[in-house]
Amino acid sequence: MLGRRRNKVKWGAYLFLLPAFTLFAVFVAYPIGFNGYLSFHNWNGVSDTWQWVGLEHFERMFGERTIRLSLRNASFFFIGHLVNMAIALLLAVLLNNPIPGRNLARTLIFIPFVVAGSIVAVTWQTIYDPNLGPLNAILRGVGLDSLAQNWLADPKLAIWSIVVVGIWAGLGFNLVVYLASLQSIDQSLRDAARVDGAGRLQVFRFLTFPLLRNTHLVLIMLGIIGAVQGFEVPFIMTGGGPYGATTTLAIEVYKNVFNFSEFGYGAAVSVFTMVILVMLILLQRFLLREQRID
Amino acid sequence: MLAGDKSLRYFNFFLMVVVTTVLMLPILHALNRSVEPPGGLGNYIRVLTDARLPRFYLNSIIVSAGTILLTAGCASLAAFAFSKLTFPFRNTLLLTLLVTLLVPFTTMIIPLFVLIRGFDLYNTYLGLILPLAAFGVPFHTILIANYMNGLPNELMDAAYIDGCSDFGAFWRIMLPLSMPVQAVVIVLTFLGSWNNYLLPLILLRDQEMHTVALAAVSWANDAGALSQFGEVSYDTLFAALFLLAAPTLIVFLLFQRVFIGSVTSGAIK
Repeated sequence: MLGRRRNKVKWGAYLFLLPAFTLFAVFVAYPIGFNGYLSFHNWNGVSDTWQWVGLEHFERMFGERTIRLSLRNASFFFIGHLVNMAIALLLAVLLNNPIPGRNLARTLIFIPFVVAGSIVAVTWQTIYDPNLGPLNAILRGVGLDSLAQNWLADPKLAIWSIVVVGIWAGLGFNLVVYLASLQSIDQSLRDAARVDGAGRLQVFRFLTFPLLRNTHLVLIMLGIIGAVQGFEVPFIMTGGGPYGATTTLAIEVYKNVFNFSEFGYGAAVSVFTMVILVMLILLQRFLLREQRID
Repeated sequence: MLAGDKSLRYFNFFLMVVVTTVLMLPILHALNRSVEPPGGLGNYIRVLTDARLPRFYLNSIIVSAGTILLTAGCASLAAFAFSKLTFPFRNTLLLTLLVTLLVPFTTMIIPLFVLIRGFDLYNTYLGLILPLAAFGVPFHTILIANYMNGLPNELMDAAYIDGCSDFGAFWRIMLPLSMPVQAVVIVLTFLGSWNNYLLPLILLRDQEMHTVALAAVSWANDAGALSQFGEVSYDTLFAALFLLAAPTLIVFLLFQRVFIGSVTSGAIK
């Protein structure tokens, strides 16, 4: 019979899974367990002995100013991501019109996304340079000398300077995702609404925006993941400074391990990062779960 | 289409040009600085003749190619099993892969460093390729399995009748038919491994092992561009940044359609 051989239980299937699951076990599953176990110990990274300290690292962590700042900064990155989504959506609606040159515009706006984050960070560092940078030069050029700032050295300003870099680098991604979703919406729906007398804004507000719901949700989830895991742009531009104003959880892990050899405490911070991320994603799924319309 | 009014169309075009130009300003700034006197276009010649540059490219090419091969290979084999074979614990194993999509890179910093050092792979290509691939495999397995689910099962029957083993059915039928999704895997893995900064930072030591992403930062450090204090001399920095970004830009411009398609399919699925 056709299909009988296909549906037979195949123990050989595990051979197909072996390479993938070996990699997974050694470099993903084992590290998670290792990290959790290490977070209850003191270890300097080289000695043979791990010293049990119980929950000490976690207690210390909740009193630490840099950890509070990391969480605050994660929320700022997320706000930046929401702004990013809004700009991307408006641009996508614009580029969904038959405008000559729109493919070129899309390509250009997408470029920052394919360039390495480290190159983006270095470029923006030179833009923000208080003396040589073009940003202050432009502000002084139009007579707004008072607005010229030390963008990365001012503790209040630095985090927003970095948020802007994130928006610039990620906009192209959000744009193409929104554009692809818009193109999957039947144009005749919008035409029908227009014929029925709806204005352009009403079509957007009551038709297009709700129809993009799943896309909003995916982008919000990616935004949460990105905000909690932020590392390279602040690490390169400010090293998390000034005075921890731009630090992130990943920067704190890195510093504790590679600058202070506090492997146990670093592990505790990274366990905390994973817990926060999983909780936020579950929370998002719960709050924005599929609403039934009866 | 409804009759659009003409002035609105001019306005849309105008708006698009303005927004795109504003977004391109950082790149134009870098382009402008890259040919600054006294070097002019010679800045590019100086970077191109810098002895370190070919090594940076080579390092990134080896790491990316290795990661792509390992990721695509492992993920395709596993995807074939999940999609076309029957075996116990299939759903449990698939669910395990799904859960790991939630594990943040941050959690991996310490264990990977300790593990790679323990395997004596610190400061080697393989020490970087293995974790990069391990992190990509779960997502790509699911991506490829979804694609293979769309390929008719009758093809498997035909392969068996023609005397193929399971591996034969994979190698001769399913793998060649899954090339469209393999292109997506290649593009996403290329971007992820070529541009990764954190893993090379913690797993490589010597400058001669540095990938392009690390090289950009050390170049900027040499120029004094990353410090709030001291002398800044941009010199060849911007030419170097463009040449370091060039491979991804060229690949992107050549395979634009696949790139944009891959990135959106990754997000929408």
